[in-house]
Amino acid sequence: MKISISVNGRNHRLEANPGTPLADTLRLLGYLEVKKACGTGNCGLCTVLLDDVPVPSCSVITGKASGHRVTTVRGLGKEADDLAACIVAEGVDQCGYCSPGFAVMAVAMKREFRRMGSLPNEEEIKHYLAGNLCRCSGYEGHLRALRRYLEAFK
Amino acid sequence: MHIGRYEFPQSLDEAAASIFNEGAVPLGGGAWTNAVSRPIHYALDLSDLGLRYIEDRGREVAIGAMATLRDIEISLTLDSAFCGIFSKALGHVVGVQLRNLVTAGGSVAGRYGFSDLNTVFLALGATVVFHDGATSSCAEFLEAPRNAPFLIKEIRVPKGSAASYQSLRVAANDFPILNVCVATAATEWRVSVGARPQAARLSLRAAEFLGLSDKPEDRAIQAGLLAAAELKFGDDTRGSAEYRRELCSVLVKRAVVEAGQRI
Repeated sequence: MKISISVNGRNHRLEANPGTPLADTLRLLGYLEVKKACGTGNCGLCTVLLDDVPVPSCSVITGKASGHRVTTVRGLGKEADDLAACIVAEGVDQCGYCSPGFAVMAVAMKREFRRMGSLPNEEEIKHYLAGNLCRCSGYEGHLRALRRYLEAFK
Repeated sequence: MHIGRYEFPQSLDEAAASIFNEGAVPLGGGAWTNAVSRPIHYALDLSDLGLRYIEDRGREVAIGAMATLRDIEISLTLDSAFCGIFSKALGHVVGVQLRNLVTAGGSVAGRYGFSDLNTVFLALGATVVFHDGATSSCAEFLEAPRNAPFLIKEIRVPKGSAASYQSLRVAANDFPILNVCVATAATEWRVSVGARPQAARLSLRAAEFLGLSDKPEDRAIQAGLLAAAELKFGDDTRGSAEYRRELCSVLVKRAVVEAGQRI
C-alpha cells in the first residue's frame, strides 16, 4: 500500500505493509526518538501525536496513519525543550528511555487542559500520565518536573 | 501482522458490501491487531464513515462505533446521564494514549472478556445497532456465535438507570481480575459480571431476587452469592475461578448497595 504521512511537518511517501506498527515505520524513516518497548500500548514509551492526539504508536497500524500528521518529541520544538529543562533541573532522568513518550504525553496534557482554560492538578496529572511507565524512578521526579513546567503557564 | 488490501470505505453500504461479499475485515481502532498473528487479506478502516459521535437522543444516548474509549470517558453527555459510571469504568483502561485509540464498536465486536465497557453496556441494557438498522440486545450479541460477519453502526444506551461499577485489578491499569456493573430502573435490576475471564454475562437470578424488594441494601449480600453461584468463572494468570467466585459475591454486594443509594 502507498502510504503518505507527514512527520514533524515533513511529508513522506512510501510503500509499506499497512499492518506494520506505526512505531516501526517511524523508526525505519529515521525517527529513532520513537522508542519501542512493550509493543502492546501499555508502557507509553512510543507515544506520538496523531493529528495532535496522543496515541501509542506501537498499537497504531501504519495504514491508519496514512494521510495524517504525526508529531514525535522532536517535532514539539520549544515546548519539549522547556519541559526538558525542567526534567534536567529536577534530576528526573536516569536511563532516559521513557523520556520521549513522557514528554509527548506531558505536552499533550498541557495543551488539552489549556484548551479548556485550566491546568491539571496533581490527581489529573497522575491520571493523564498513568499510561507512561518508568522503571528507574518512583515518578516523584516526574511530578516535580511537571509542576515546574506547568508553573510557567499560570 | 500482514494486511493485503487496506481501504477507507466512504459509506456504510460500501463497507457492508465489502464485508459481506468479499470477506473484508472491519477495523475499529486497530489496537488489538498486533496480537493477531494471522494475516488479513482485506481490511476496512472505518474512520471516514462519520461514526465517531456520542448523541443524546432523549430517552437514550447513542454511541457511534468509532467513538473512542477516551471520548466516552470524558463525555459530559454520558457523565450527566449515567452518574459518571463510564468515566469510572474506563478511566483505568491502560492509559489515555490507548483509550484514544480503542473504539466502542471494536470493543463490542471483539466480545473481549477483559472489556470494562461491555460489562457496563450489558448492565445498562444497551442495544447494538448494525449498518442496516437491525438491532440486537447487547446480552444477545455477546452470547451469539461468531460465525457470521456483521458491521456495527452504534450502541444505544437507555437512560434512567441508577448504576454502580466495581472492579479489582492487580495493578491500577491492568486488565481487571473481575468487573461488575449493577443497574436498576424502576423495579428492574440487571447484574453484569465480566472478566470472568470470559466475556460479561448477566446474572438473572440475582436480578430477579433484587426485584422482589424495595430495600436493595437488605438483599445485597444474598444477590452477590446468587450471582457467584449462577455464573461460570475460569482460571488465568490474574486469578483462579475460585478466587473470582469469591470476588464476585463481594463486588456485586458493593455494586447493589451503591446503585441502591443512587436511586
